[in-house]
Amino acid sequence: MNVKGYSGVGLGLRRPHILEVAGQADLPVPFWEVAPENVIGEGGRVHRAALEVLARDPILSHGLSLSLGGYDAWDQDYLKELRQFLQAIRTPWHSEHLCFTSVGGVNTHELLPIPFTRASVVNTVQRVRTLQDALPVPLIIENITYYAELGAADMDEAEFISAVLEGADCGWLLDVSNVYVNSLNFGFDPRAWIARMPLDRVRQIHVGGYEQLGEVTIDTHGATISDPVIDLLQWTLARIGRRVPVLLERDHQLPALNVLLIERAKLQEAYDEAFASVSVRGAHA
Amino acid sequence: MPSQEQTLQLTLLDLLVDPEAGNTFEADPAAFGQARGVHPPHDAALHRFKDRLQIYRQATRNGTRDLLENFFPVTQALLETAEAWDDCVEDFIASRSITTPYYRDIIPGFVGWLSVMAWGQAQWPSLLAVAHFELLEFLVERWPDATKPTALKDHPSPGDRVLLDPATRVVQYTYAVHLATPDHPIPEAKPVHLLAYRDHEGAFQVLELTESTAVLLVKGQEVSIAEATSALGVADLAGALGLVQDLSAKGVLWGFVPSLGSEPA
Repeated sequence: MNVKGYSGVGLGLRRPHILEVAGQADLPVPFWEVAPENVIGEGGRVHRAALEVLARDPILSHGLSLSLGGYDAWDQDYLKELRQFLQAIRTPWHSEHLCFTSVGGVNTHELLPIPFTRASVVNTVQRVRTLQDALPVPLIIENITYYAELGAADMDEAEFISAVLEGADCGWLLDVSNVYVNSLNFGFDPRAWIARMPLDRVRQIHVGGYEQLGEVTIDTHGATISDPVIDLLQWTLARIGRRVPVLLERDHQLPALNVLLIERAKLQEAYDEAFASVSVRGAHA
Repeated sequence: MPSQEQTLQLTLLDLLVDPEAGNTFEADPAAFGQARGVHPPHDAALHRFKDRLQIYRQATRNGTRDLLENFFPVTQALLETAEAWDDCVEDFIASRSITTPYYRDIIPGFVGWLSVMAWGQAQWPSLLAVAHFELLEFLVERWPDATKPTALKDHPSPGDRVLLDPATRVVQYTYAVHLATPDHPIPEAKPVHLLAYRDHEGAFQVLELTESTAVLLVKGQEVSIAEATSALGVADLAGALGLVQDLSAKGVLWGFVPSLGSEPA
């Protein structure tokens, strides 16, 4: 299925590919995902090409810097730029990671784990709600890969995410790969984990590659999608029963665009296969 | 009084950025947390995940180092040894000066930090100039576009002023930084005037200018080309007009601001 829209398997719009993407309006990619931080405030030829793609194709916005679970004050300049950006690209939602990135005024540019405590839920829910009021499109939040719990937990990760989703009454960007990587690092059944979750809140899915570093599996977005993740994706899509958009994430060791398109097509087949025996509803109702 | 959750986040920040924190944390994670206000049972949890928390410290270093090595290969080579470069990156991270939500803005932030701290200046006097020139390529290529004013002329007259493309920079260095490479990173100590601009393909280009041409381009933005040429004591006005016309054709200039009363070409 190669129809343009918020369904099927899309790709991240990465700088090395932008000129090529801008020059081919008929690429078999239903939508592109873009990080506002990589577009706002830029200029030059590649930037202008990116703007052409943003104006031409369906776009989803995925942020890196809001620090949903942090305590630092909002960067009002960034919020203002983000608002303008989201309005300009006509995205149906903006996603952000359920983590903290800024602390003590320092932006670490790392997705750091929020302590799984009741106080963290209250703080994060309040911040997500504030952002939902401040942004022109719905904010949806993404579960991250984490390698350690920060402090003593009052609840497990699934309970924490569910509590934030329900408390903030927001949509969920379910990163299936992150669930799988966390299941390897913490030793749980990823299907049982997903089965516990409020899947009616899923608006989008991410899948990405990972690599082994000693005894720990690291979410690198630098490898092809593994078969177990594709299986988990299909199982999850069938359970959700809606054609939610799936994003193939690739940020490191970026292959040529044609190579990435081949992997996208393989995932698209898996996506369609997942719905073959399931009665589905539309993606972006 | 910060909450325990906030204290835990600040403690993790210390682990990520403080130079000695890796060893201190490794030796006794609970004590590391206690010293920063982390109370039971959270301090014990730091011990439980002590190896995994170090992953974040390493990721912070790797991410910053990879970014800087990508944009500052000559600067890195100038520091001669991997240890010196690691020290530089380590000190930059420890400065806690990365506050921007824009990952790319770490690049100018690094040069700003080198400048403010005069890091390595005694040992590598050309360091800041080399790093600034590498930053220049990044800035020129990605400088925000703007709407070109109307009524600009394509061909100059003596009474016109020049209008640079917003990405164009006329810069002066005390080292020939534009000739330095990762294989030959130490630039010759000599004053150079450089013109950095985007060509029609959007690529970074640099030209070495004579001092007179550099002054003409700077002054010619404020006064007419004829006045700028005269102030330089240059008699060849036709040559100056030909020069700015050539630079305009390369993409250095947006065009020429007509003097009052003249007609756009």
